[in-house]
Amino acid sequence: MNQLQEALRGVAATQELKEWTRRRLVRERTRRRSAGRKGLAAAVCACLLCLLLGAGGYRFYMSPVSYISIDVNPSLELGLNAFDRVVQTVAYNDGGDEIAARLSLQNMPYQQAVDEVLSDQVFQSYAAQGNGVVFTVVSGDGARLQAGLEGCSGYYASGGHSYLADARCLDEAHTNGLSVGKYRAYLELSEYDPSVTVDDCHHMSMGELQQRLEQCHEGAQSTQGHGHGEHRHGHS
Amino acid sequence: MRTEEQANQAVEEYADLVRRLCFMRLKNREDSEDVFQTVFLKYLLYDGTFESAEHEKAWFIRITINSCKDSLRSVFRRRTLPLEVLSEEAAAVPEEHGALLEAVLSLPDHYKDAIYLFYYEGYSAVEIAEILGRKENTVYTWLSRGRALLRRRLGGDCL
Repeated sequence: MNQLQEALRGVAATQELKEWTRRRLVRERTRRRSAGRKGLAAAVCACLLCLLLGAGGYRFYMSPVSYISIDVNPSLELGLNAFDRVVQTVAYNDGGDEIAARLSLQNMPYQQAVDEVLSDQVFQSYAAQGNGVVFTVVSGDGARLQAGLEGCSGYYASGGHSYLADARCLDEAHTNGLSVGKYRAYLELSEYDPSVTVDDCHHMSMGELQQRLEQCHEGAQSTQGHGHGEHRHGHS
Repeated sequence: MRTEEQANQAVEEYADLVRRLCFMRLKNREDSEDVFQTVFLKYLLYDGTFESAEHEKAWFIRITINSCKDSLRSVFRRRTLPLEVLSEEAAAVPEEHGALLEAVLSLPDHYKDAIYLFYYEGYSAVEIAEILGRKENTVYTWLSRGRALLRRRLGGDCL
């Protein structure tokens, strides 16, 4: 046993934490199953109503309720409807335009659509130059979509990272002409470096943004690690 | 969604691994326990299949590291931690290993992950690269820079 193994030998999950977690998982399972049943019933009613309402049903189906932003250098945003199917594909730069034009993602389940994007040759050529693909999820059920993304076959190979953002971040991103993924990264970077502007981010690739963020994180960590007792700058 | 039995089995199997990764990345018990539960919640919701036990373990490592990153970012955005709670987690470590742990915990996150996976979990650099989705050379660089920082701080063969 090496010294690190010796040192960490005492760090283990307590029975109490395990039990607490098990109980939470049971609660979550029950809640989701009953919500699922209610959701199914609601969906059936909604569908019947939609049939009656005709055009209203089409609008319901075509309305995005969740968004997944895929950024490497091409920035693409997928809008998902209540059934987790792609109903909107928006490109935020030339690379994104090129990929959106090559692929037909409409009505695809989101995991399949993400795999299509990740396996596209043009996308892969961009990804190879970048710092890993960044996925940003905006949804009322973000954890579930994140878990689904992490299950996509190309997720690990693409060096994927996933983040959650909220509806406000999404609105601000669109107002500023950026994908929500890039805008979230801008917000994070601006906490370290308030001189960065949205306009700067328009001219930076996602890889460059990620690189600057990593430098800021490492800088903040080494400041903390040297024990000067300073807070990381940029706290709000 | 996973069955209750699968979820319970996963808690039994991976609880210590997830706990140690949280310990390496996070600085206080509250965030650590939040992430611990989030990881198993993601497992419960994950519909994919695992090719082997090793694949499943690699998934847990990856998800835990990503969830820790998310937690640190939201902590950073939401609130400032008082300095005295930063070392709360480190109190669980035996005194004789305090210096080593302190040095490892002060490494930048990438170096820390690589050092932990290499020395504690016994993964090779190639396997770590696969788990973290990075190039092998990057992992070799993290390992060698991490070791150099530890040597500088602790001297000699500290691991």
